[in-house]
Amino acid sequence: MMMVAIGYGSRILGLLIMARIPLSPNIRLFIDAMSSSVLIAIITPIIVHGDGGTRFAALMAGAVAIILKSPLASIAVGIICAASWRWWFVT
Amino acid sequence: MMLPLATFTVAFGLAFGVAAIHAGITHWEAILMSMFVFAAPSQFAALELWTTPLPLLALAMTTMAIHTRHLLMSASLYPWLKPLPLLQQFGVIFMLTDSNWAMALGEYQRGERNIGILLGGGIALWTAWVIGTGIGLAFGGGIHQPERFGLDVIMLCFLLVIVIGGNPKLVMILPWLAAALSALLAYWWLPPYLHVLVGALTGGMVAILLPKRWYKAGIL
Repeated sequence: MMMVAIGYGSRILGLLIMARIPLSPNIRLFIDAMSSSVLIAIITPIIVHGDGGTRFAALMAGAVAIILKSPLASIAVGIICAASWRWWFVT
Repeated sequence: MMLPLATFTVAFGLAFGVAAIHAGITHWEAILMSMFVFAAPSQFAALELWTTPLPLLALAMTTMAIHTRHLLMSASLYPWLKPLPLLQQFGVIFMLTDSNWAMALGEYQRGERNIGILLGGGIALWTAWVIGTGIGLAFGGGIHQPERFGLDVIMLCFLLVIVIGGNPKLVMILPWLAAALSALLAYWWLPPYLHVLVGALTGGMVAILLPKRWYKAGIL
């Protein structure tokens, strides 16, 4: 119950805060950079602390994303890489 | 792109269902959690803390910390949601998750202005998530090691693709490096889950501090 409240509350709070702060160019810039930095912040520790399979998957998925520009292909490649890495190197 | 993503989400939900069984949560508790909380990271974190009696304070803090992300996310979508009536804004925002937010933001930056992408994507993901949880609960004993099949990297790859796929601008390299570095430091030395907030704020700050002419000089 409490998790529901916090989960939904945080989604709404962002809106409410933004409704009161006017969007200056600086704030826009801040939010733009922040929105991608959130993702960076989430994935960096996962990659750094991940096992070989995780790192390999991230590397390959990133490469595929740059070359093919297809999200699905790179997610699929990531899964296959992680699974096969662990298949060969982890017993 | 939404349909395959929903399929992945079923797999996610399945993983959660399986994990919930092993954590000793009752079936209806797990399914209710999926229906109303609808956020994979906090649900998984909650499983970690699930002991009797429930450590309510720890649970609240953890959930709050993880959800600071959603706060930032809905803030970033505000320019888009602003024209809608308040009630609709609140409705759409309930369906906000990592994946459809990331996708919606990508669409928004490409000039799309139809909020249906966020809402429709959210509903698809929600359905997939609840169904997946159900399947996972039903066949919980089946998959013991989801990481064996590489299922644990789905989230990682997806976020990575969103960052890279959004046509990265050269000028963002510094903010991103700062975000990565500060997130890592916070991950090591600050309480769990704060690293997301720290990294996001650092990235934003650095972007503001960069000389404005860099943005104008065409390396945007």
